[in-house]
Amino acid sequence: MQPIIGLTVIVFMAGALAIGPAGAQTAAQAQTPGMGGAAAMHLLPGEEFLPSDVRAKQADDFDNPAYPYVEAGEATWSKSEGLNGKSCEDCHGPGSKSNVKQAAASYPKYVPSVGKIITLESRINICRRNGLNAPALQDISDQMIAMVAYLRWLSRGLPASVSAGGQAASVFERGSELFYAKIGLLQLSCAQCHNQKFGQKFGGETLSQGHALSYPVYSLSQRRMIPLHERFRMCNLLARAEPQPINAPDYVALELYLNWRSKQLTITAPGVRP
Amino acid sequence: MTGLRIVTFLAVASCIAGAAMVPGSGTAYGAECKRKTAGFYLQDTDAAGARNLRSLQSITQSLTGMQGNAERGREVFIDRQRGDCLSCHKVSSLSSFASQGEIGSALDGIGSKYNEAQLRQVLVEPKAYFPDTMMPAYYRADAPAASVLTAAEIEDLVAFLRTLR
Repeated sequence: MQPIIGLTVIVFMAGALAIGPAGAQTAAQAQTPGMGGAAAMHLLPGEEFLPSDVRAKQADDFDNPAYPYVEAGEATWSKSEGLNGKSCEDCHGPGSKSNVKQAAASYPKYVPSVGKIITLESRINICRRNGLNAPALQDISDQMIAMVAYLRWLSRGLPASVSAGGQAASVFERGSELFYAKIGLLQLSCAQCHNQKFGQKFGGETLSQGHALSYPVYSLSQRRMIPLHERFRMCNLLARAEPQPINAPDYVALELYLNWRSKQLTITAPGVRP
Repeated sequence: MTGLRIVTFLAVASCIAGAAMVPGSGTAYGAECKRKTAGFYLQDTDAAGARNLRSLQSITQSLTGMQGNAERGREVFIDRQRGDCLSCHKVSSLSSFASQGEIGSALDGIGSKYNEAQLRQVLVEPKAYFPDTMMPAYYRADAPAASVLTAAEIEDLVAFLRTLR
């Protein structure tokens, strides 16, 4: 029997050698941040993965539980607030104006006056402080969620138009790194669920491709609005990782990367989720 | 033993040759091949057509030195804060629990497919058998704080999984 055992070992080693390089290459490609994984993937919007009744609820403004937030945001847009006695509309014009419609789609973006990449929420607060002379809104407050829901609703049908280059390059790089980073006790990455396992059941829900185009969303089970960074916190908890605060630099970077990754799809906010 | 060695030889040899020889199945076959070799995990079909899993790598010693308890293992299995196994795996005998996932394989019959030592290996470091899996490693002897489950919980899970026949 000796020759057979010897041969077994040799063949085993040959197998490892023959397969090693190809396997290593595949793993490297899969983990290359940026273009690699997402570019090769056929993009499917989040709605594709929803139960049909939830999808119908989202599509119908009268039935969409997030829609009252859009209406509240619309009312706030033209309402004078703060010590300067001005409204958003006084500077930016009505929601029907094309640059107002397109605004939400371009965030997070580099804003020269603050010298960094900021979210739409931060932009709103900068305007409140400098333009209206009004107190900043808490990121998770109903008022802020309403403003974002309204502006994102105006951008419906438009592709996310974020920039990944220039001043945004390093933040974008960080975002793509985070998407592929294995985190928490369970050592899971965004990519594992949303690039590789989309369409499969995780618990009772179907994993989507992780496009954030319908955020903020109304969660039917939690009966509340969930802004994107709150969703990041929920995902972190699932991986048993430490969630970061809303508007943390890593979350801004991840938001930028996600929007870039969804570029061929269009915004469908505000969404509804089970 | 002789039989297993020959099976080992045949399985690995056909795996290497097969990567080039099986037409139209390049990628999938290559991945299967990688699983077979990298994890010392072998799969073959016996004369009666039953699928056999054979492993050269397993953890034969109980992590606690004691036999686990299947009842407690069932609790760890369904507990969302501990094993949370149902988020990814379906089990027919637990069908009263809604929201069973399907990211991992269904675990019906897992207790007769794998022995205790193999189940322990899969729970402690699943990538030893399945290099591409996203299943977490549930126990780390070197870093208890980074361990998802305790040694006793792993042993209880092993005992429970063995009851799934």
